Amino acid sequence: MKRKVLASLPVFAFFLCWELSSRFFEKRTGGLFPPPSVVAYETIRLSFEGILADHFWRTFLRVIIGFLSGAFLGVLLGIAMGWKGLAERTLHPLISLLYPIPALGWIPLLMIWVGIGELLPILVIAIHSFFPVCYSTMTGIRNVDRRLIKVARTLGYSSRRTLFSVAIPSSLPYILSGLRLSSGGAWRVVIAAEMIAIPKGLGALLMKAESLIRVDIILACLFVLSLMSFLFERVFLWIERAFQNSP
Amino acid sequence: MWKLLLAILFLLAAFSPVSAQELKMAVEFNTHAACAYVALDKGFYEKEGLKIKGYEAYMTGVALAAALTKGDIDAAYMCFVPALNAFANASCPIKAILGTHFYGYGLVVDPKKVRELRDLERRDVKIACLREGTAADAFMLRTLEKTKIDERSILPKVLRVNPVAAIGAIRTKRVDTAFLPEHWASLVEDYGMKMLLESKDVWDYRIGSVLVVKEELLRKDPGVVRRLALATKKATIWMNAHPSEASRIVAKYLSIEAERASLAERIDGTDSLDIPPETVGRSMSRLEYRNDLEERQVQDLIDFVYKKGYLKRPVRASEFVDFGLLR
Repeated sequence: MKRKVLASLPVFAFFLCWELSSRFFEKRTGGLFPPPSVVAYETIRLSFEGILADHFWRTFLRVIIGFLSGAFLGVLLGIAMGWKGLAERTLHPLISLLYPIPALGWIPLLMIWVGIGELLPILVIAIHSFFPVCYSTMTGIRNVDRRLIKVARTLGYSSRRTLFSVAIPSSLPYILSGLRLSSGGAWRVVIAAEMIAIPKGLGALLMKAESLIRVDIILACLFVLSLMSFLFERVFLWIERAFQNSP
Repeated sequence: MWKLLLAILFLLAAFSPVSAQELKMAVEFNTHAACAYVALDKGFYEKEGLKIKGYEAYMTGVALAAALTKGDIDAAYMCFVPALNAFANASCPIKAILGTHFYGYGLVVDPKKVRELRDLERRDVKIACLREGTAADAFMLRTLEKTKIDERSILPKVLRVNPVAAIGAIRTKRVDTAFLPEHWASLVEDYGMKMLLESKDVWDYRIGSVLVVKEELLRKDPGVVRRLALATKKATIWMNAHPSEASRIVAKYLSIEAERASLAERIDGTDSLDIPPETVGRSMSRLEYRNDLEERQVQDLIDFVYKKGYLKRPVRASEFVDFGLLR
């Protein structure tokens, strides 16, 4: 209990300093540096009026669809590359070439290819999620204890059965940590994609708030984003731990 | 002898022209700021003893409003709505002291795809508009309200872009219609678009842009503000008396600004962005350059913007506009 109180002290001190300094300089800064109480009030107001929920759900759906499709492809390709030497030899150079390109770097190209619409942020998230998941899955499969595979083969397991019963379960910690890393990141890239002319979503709300010079709404959106990114990572961390603790 | 010299110096000091007051000014990069360009070109500021230390041209009122909040601009010619946003939402200490024009926004359409306003509701019609909080956005909302087109069927598909991006999208056929401020609306007519609607069609009176000054300047040096207002009024009168010469001056400044901001490079398929005086003249003819601001009309516009949820708090017209100076 005491440790928890101590841990929350810096957070409390941060918000207190912010509140006091914002109130103190209110006349000089106007609405450009709102205190956390105002941001909290604005978050609640936007929530009750349904504005935040409307924008949030659109972003949430984009994140879910983009993340799941990118992660699914990443896992598939990662397994193929980790399990089959031929797939690794043919695909690895290409993946290595594309991996360093930041997901946001694809936006201009995607704007031309798919236009500015729902598909744009989904694809950006999918690209962002794909590479880390693919790499961690491939690493996981390759790092499976060779003796386990030998035992499975000795017991007469087919290649497919060995993969599904031995290799994939053994590489799950790697896959999950890849998913955890990219899940939080999905929230970070979706905003940038939504800021480009997309009419709905948290990124669009951020842009709207910026054009109306509503710093309180900008901070409210950032708070929601930070919370969602944190929650997504926590969910995968929880799954990872649950998996590690399972017999 | 020295008494005589002193007397001469005293007389010289007393009757010498007013020392030039330095001002940092900002304008919107369009024909809305015509009176500022004309005042600069014809020396109306100098004649009033004002020295413009520097002027910045901003692509949209929103960008200018953001710059205003930083506080290093003394005076700005900008659209009423973003100026009001800066005042009400960011507590930016500014006051509007003069109007500069009425109207100045248009709905341009691809005539092959859009023939009437109802066509905007069609799913295949792509719409572009400037961002929320701009005067062009207020014009769009007013159009939808006035023509009873359901906002919910239109707003979710509106691409929010700046004027240059809108022109790029129009040229590459990524959008079929756009709500734009002048001179951009008239400029895209040169690219085969048609003006379907103007702001005067949906608004009997529509305050376009205003001259805003820092409250501090108004408080500490009202004489300078009065001289600035006077120079603006003289420029407006001159423009209305010499429309073709005014359009040449404005075209010259807009072309310089377009070159300075490398706008042509930012519009797909365009090598240069010369803004011909004819286009500027056509654009300017769609605006009503005038300096009066009527309290009831100002309040109506403020109430409309507030009703649309763009203002943090209700604002009284007299809070934002200094009607005293106008009188």
